[in-house]
Amino acid sequence: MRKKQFCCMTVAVCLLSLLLSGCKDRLDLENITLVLMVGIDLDEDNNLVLYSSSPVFSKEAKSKNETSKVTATTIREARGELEARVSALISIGKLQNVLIGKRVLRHKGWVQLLDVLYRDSKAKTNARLIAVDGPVEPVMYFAPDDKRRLSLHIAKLVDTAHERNLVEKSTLFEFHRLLFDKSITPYMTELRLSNSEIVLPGTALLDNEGIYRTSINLEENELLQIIQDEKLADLSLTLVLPDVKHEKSVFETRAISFYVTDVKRKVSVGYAGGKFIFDIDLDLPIHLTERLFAYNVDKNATRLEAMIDKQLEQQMGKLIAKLQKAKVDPTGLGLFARAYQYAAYKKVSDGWEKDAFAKADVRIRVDTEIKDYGEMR
Amino acid sequence: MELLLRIIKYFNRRSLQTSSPSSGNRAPARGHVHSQLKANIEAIRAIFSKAPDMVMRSFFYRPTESHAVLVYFDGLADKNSINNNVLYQLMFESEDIGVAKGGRLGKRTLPLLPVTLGHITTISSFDQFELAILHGKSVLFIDGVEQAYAFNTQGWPQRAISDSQIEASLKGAHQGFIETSEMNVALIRRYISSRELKIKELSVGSRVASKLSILYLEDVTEPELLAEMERRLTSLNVDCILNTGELAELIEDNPFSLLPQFITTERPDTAASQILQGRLCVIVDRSSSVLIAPAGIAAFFQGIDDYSTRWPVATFMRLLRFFACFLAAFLPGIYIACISFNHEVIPLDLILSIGQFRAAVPFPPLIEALIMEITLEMLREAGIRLPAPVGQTVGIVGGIVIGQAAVQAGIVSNLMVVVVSSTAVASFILPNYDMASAIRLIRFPVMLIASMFGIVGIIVAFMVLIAHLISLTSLSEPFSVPIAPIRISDWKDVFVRLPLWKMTTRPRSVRSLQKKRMGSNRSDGENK
Repeated sequence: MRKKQFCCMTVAVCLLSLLLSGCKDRLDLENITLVLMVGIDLDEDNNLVLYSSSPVFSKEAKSKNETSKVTATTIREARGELEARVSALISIGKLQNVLIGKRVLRHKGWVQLLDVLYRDSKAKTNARLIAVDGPVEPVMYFAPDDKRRLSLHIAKLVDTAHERNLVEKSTLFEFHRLLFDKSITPYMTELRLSNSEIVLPGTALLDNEGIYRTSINLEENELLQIIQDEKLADLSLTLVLPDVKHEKSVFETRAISFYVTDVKRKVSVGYAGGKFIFDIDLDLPIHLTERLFAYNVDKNATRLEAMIDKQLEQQMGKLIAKLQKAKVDPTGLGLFARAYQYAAYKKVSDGWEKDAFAKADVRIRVDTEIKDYGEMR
Repeated sequence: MELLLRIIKYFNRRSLQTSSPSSGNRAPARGHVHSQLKANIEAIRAIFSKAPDMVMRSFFYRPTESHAVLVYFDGLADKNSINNNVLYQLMFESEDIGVAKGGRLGKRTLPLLPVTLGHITTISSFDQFELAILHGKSVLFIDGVEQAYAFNTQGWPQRAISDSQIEASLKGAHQGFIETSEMNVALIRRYISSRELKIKELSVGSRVASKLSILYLEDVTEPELLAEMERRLTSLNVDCILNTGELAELIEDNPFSLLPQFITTERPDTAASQILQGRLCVIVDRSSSVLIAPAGIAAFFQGIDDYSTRWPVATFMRLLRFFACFLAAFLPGIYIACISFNHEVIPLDLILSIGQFRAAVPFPPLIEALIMEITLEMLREAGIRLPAPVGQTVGIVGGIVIGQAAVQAGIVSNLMVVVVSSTAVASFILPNYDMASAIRLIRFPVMLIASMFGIVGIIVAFMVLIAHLISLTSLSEPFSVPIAPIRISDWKDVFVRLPLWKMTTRPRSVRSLQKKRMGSNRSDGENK
């Protein structure tokens, strides 16, 4: 009888499983148009324009990618329009990049457009958010011969550039966090199409409502990542040391390049006279990789270190001033303020980057230590 | 399944209504051996009509001054032995016998028969005679003697002991069981030369008696197991048992399960190792494999080579087998689920290439998978039937040529060929053929459920399988022991194979009477 019971149970389980919600959403791979890249832009009349780029699997198609353009009020509405154009049913489960025109970033409330990408459980929240400097359309239709399909090329480009600390990277998921955390402002990778080449000029910095404020270039981004203590792979800096004797030439002979092998950051937060005071101590062990001037590092390392320290402090100071001027705070210092000076932070928490960070006194002290100067003296 | 049960029940009932097949064939008692030779010969002719291979050699037996007949089956008996040890002796060397001429030959004088054979039995009824002669013995009838004598002159065609083909091993012994039960017992005795190795002989089958021998270690094996096995064997009511597989099917706990509930092996070393662990071994005469019970799931993943290779290597192999078993059952299902339902879980670059392959294929993934799987199963089966050199060719032609051509013709996709062939390779890793076949069969319902419900379906299939494994029993002992119910101390030889000097106790799963297997041959892992 036990065996019979077991058989009955098995049949019952099989029958019950027919009622599961997982049964109706069968969608074979060949019936799917995988949208790998979505573009969001505004045209001249400020109508929302949406682009989708997806691979074409059929051997008969000459081009490996199909790009479509629709005007719609929301991304979800655009899906219907797009499905009437592309070869199969749209799936955003493998979305790689979301390109957003700077025109869009300048308008309040654009962040709400992303709602569907967060709400739909099948959407991929690891998609990279990228700000496009200029119109999005030429980027979406750009099909270079010497690159793989553009959506994948851009994804790889952003990942590797971020790995080298050249640009910041925000996925949809991370962007959400940055946006809703009052003590830090969001940022996203910036992208530009120049001379038929995709270039990442740096990072776009946004304010807490997602409105574009300013951009930083690759070098500034490296410094920003040191301040954030988010150094990833090799961080290579090139500095011109003004204190070194300059021999007249067309070439700059005062340049020095080094790897920052590690970042040890200490932040102390004070509050005095209605101002936040940040003391940032950075201990940077460095490896010299390039030195265009004669110098005996073996004997005079300390002096060289001091020159580098001074130069770095200056540049970081400039960067902070730029951020304060633009009233954005991607540095994450707000998190320290919240942690250590909560009483003072609470009063300004709603407008941290405008009311507090912009006025804060940020003192950066860099202490480099030359660990290695290469194979030559 | 309900329907299936009904149908089977219907047939069961029908077969019960008609008188049980064997009872009608049960031979009526043919009475005792007569004292007149003539009557005996007539009785023999009545029992064995149309048996041209039966030899009846008449001669004059001098000690009793009477006629005698030696009866045997040509082919079942060893002719040399009959000529030299029986006939020659009876005819010419019989002067010295201590029986007065014309005297009676009785039980007491049995040892005095001038036959140079070790094993002689007296026979009083024709039932015994029939059994003896059918087992290759030669039987002597003497006029005036109300008894017959059976001589052990068995010599039926018999194969040489060779390596088991189905359970090949690299470092284990290269002896496999053969079709003679006495020889198989001897092979096991060679491994366990201990007086505690007991052999219980049973005879099953009403038309043709099949000799079954239960081998066990008296001081190790739990008596309940033995009793249960004996109960099952003695309650059998069949015509004849030709094979161990037949026996297993008749006495297993759950006849509807896909999984084998007894281990059948052709290796004496495997059998010996199982007996030493406290299990029973049933040898079926005329079958070259033996049955081991109770079987635990772990035993199907243990190869005999595991114990002769170094333990980290053996552990790796063990884990590989479990992994391969999972692959063999679920990989095509997972593939189908991924490309039909959950394409989000496939890495991007892979999905792009799968998309390209799939675009060329006109069938849905399930059909595609079924085409490949069935082709592969056909190739496998064809490979068994064909002689070895041709079988290999078929494998190559099938695997490479058909696979490649099918991809080029756009019938199946490249990746499906990869999936199916890796599944096939995985399914051949299991050392036990029965288990491997079961896993191969489980794959099909998994594929079906995956194509209907995606990953959810696979999880359901997995859970059903686990539930079944847990509820399954072998000889009324839990089948999934030591995993469920948990016997942590037995895990030393399940997923991993710990060093032998750590396995000092017999498995608790078999409830052996004697727990200790060896002393600590190494203390603290140091070589003493």
